Amino acid sequence: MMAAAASLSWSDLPPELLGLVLKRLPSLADRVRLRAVCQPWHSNARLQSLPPPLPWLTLIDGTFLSIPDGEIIRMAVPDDANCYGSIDSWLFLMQIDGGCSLMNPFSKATLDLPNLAALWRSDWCNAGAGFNPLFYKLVVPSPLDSSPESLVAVLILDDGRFGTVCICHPPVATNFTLGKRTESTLYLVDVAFFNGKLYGLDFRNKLVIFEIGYDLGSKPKISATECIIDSGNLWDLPHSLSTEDVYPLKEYLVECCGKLLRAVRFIHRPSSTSFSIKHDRTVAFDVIEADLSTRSVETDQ
Amino acid sequence: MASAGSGDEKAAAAAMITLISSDNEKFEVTEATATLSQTIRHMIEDGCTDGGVPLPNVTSKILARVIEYCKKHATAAAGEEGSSSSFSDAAFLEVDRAFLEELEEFDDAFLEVDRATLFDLILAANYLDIKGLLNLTCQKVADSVKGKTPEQIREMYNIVNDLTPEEEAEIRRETQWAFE
Repeated sequence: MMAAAASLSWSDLPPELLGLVLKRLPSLADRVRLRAVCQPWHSNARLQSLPPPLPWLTLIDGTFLSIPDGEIIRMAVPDDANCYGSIDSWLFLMQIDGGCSLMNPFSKATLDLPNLAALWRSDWCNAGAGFNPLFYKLVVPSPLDSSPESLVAVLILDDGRFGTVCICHPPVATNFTLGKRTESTLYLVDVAFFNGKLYGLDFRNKLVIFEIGYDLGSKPKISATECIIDSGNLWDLPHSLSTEDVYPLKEYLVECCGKLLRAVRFIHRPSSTSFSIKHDRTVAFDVIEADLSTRSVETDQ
Repeated sequence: MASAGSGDEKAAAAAMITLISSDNEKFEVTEATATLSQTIRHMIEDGCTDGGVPLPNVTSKILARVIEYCKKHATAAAGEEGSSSSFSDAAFLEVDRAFLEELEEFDDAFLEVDRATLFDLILAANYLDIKGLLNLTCQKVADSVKGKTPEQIREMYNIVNDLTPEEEAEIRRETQWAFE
């Protein structure tokens, strides 16, 4: 207390030094709270260019888990909506009546999407099949914050384990392309944009590319689907895993550092809990790079 | 002022530099210790250290602590250079590891200071351009605010809340999720 008047206070910390402290806070919540301490910190923090904070994990109950501190974050979403996923900083919301939208909870910007479940049901292929849409994954070719006019591609997985891809140009309703309608049935497990093109991963180790065109009403649609890599049904179990056990797999198609990767997650599920995912533990990852020039793959475990 | 113990006397046979604090106290240090500060290194390179280096921004209390840090880390740097030639020797690696652990313990103990001293150390490390010390002190601040509310941070660092009620309400409205 006594020295406070004579010497500088912590609120006088020069902006670049405040920036050094902020850089060492990987959690967005910590950065936000530090900015709310006093006037100089609030204005000086804005001047700093910082590395992006670590991402949050979306939890099943609609809350978010901040890494690495483990803080649980609650984001206000409209009362009648639930969060079913995200793209970057945008939450994918679905209302009770099926209305879909994307909302950036930081800027409060919203983007209306068509009612995806209704569209899915209206398609003749799905109408009589007796299945229901179960899981939605949304991907964009470029960040929505900088290009709000962007296309949005949606992979819808149903409880019959079929994957359907739909292209939206918000808020324009869209055309559906069904994996099962193409000449050879596709069992899509993930989709990703890479260098502006949409790719899909089939669980039988096939990589497909979707051509996106526009119909006369300038609605985007998938005009062609082509399998560009088919690495067959060969599986190499990571060395760390026992050949005695059976491991459920999860497959992902990801763009990372200018590469298109297929990541396979090996899961250990205690046999006594075979129907519950609660005790699942990820035990290994297998990452494979797609070489789009030679149309082959390179493995890295 | 007393120079370091017997260990680095050999290096000290080289040039000594006089640092002068804002309250006019003189500190004799080896060049190896002084040049952990990029600011002083440049002064030495420019040949303008004769008659001592005045450091008008650093009090004797803080300068003594900074020198303590630099001495320890200059010895560490010298040790690293010495052992790199026999890198394959397991015994040397073992010594290196023990030394790094000791250095970490030193750093932890070094940071056991009050908030006002920590603030002055950050400013001094920045002014003298001592990267290691700046990293260490900024990390200490970052670690101390993790998971804390703005109010707790103000209390910890003796900061007056000068945000107007309107500004505070605005911040809360924009980032409500960070305050729940």
